Amino acid sequence: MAGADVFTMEPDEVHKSVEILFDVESEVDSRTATLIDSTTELAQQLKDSDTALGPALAEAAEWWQLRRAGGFTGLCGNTGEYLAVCAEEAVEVDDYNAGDFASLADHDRYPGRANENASSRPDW
Amino acid sequence: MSDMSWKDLRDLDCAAIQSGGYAWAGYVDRMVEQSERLRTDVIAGHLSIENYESDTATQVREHIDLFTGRFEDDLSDYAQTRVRTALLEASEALKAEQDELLELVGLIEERAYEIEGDKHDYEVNPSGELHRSIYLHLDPPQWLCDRVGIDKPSAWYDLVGEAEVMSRLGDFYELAKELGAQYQDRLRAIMSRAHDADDEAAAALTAMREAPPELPPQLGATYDDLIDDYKAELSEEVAAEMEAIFNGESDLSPEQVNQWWEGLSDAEREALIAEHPEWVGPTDGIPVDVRDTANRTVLDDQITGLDQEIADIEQQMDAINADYEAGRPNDSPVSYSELQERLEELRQDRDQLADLDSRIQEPHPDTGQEYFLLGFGTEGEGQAIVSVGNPDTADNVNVYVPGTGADLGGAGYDNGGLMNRIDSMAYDAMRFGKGEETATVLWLDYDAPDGVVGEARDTALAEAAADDLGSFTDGLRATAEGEPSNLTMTGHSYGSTTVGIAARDEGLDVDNMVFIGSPGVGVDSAEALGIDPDNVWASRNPDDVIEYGMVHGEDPTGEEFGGNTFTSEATREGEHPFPGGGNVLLGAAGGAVAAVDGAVANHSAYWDDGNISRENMAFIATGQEGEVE
Repeated sequence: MAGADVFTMEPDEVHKSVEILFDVESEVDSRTATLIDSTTELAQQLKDSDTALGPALAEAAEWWQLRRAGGFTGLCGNTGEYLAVCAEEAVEVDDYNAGDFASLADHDRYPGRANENASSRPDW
Repeated sequence: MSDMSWKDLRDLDCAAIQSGGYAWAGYVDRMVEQSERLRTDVIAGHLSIENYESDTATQVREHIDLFTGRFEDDLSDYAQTRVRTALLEASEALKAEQDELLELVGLIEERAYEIEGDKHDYEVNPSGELHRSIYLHLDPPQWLCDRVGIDKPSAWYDLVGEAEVMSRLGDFYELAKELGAQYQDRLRAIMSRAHDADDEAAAALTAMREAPPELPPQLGATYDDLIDDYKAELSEEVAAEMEAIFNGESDLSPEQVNQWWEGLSDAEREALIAEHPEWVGPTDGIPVDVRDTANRTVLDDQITGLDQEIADIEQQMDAINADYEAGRPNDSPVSYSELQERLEELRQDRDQLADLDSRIQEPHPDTGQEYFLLGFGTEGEGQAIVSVGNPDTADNVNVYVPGTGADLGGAGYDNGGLMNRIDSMAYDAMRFGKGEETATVLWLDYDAPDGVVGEARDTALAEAAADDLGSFTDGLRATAEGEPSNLTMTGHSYGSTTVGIAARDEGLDVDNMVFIGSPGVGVDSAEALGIDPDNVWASRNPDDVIEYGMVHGEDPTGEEFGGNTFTSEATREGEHPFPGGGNVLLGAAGGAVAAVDGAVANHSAYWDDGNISRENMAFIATGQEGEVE
């Protein structure tokens, strides 16, 4: 992360950004799951009809959920966690790792999150 | 690979496939709302520089912008273009085949045939029931009797009728088999198309997962290293798309190009301009100021490159001279005369580009408008697209298409060049206009005829230019900011033919067309130009030689053409060449050249100081048609 020559922060505003990032993460995950459920059902119908489209659609849907939408929400969540640590500490956090969130973030503000997403953190 | 049977296709729920496509479309819309939240509420809102300022804060904002942009690209490239489109196209194609199949199967069942064999190689044969009716009961169905051309036996005791069936059993067999073969061919075709549609949709979805771009890295200790790699890969991906657009391999319209461009991040756009200005500069659909920046870079590079090439050749020629003077043999693979010829070509290109460069450095001396370089080249006679003022922000845009003899050499020259004409038109738009800004464009992006005989009598060069002129116009529309401008297309001489043929063949999205000194515009009626004939204007001064060269259709200044006319004056000295009429293009070859001089000069008099044509053209270009005389 870059060093800091100038540093000013309104922690409450940064916390609000974090809340939006977490909310977008949740909203995208939720809507994607709903879409993938219905797509998987359609793909099964198409598989039953011996189409080529059925298996391809099932794989595409899974790929989309895990690799692309999932990648995006992972980035939303990770960035939110980083900012949450910055806001909580009110300092420039240069050497961040995902475990910092669990130990340094305000868990009253983000209840349950430290445990909920622990397994998704690459360097936990 | 598609392995659908005919029964699978018959029973396929195509509406469900279509609904699946719509579900993905709706999902994309909802997801874009989420990405907009990140841009508006986070980057420009709570996490704006007023609330969070530091080097890292800048990096975090850029990071959010990057992964949001990546998600938007993914939504567009995969969820929308791939999955949604694959499902909708498959549902439509399969439904069409299903409908045809249902009709065919109805006939097959009604006539007691049966479908047998492999699902990729179906056979349609007479069923046992049909066989028995013919061979056992001698009582074929009515439709088969009709095909054979005999009466169907009226009852089981119709022995005469049965005897006739017996006598024609060979015909019954052949015709029943023939009809089965027809059904079989049709069924195989239906299934083949259905399998193709299925396979194509599957292939599109499978290809989607091959070599997708990486996602931005997560924030963390290794971020600084990883983000550089990510940006490099991103830059390569975007560059490949830009190259495909530039080469015309993407099949994107200027409007789509503009959408693509606007969808890029600032960093992606800046990288393209810096690394591939030669692709960005000429591309319709990219904003004018961006094209100008890119084209100026390429122009500078080309002038520098030509200087280097000239220096290299001069050095080679000096070496040959030195060898000659010293009496040494010269081993140069290229002769002195060849080098001399090449040197002259390079110097001409260099001088023309330098002229063009010098003309666009300072703002217009009277209007103060900046010049924008939208395209240029030295291929053939050379090309130049230059605007006085920015068409993307102007209220009025007037595109001037020059005619016979127009080339890059004539574009930049101070004395009588094409740039002088757009300078005059820009000045006129300011002094006769209503205070709005007017951008005036020289569009010389086609191979104009070299002289008034030969090429100028053929529409081939105009037809070849039509697509590019249409694309350029669509590009102006696509990149315009705010309300659409009042867009006028002005063609002079063969340029008017080029404009008319582009309007006829491609359609030009313009508000007005102006034809001056026209030899015909490729159509015989203003109505055929695709805009309201009330917005079509033409003028020819009374001593313009073109009067005798009306070779490309009805005279646009004539009443029968159906457009409007305005006054122009013959401001140059000369005699009317053929008072009694005649065709100058033929007659000039005969000895009347001296008499023609004035008329030829007046063909270019429309921009002369004091010519009322200038005022009239300005009124049209600035939306004051009521003032036109």
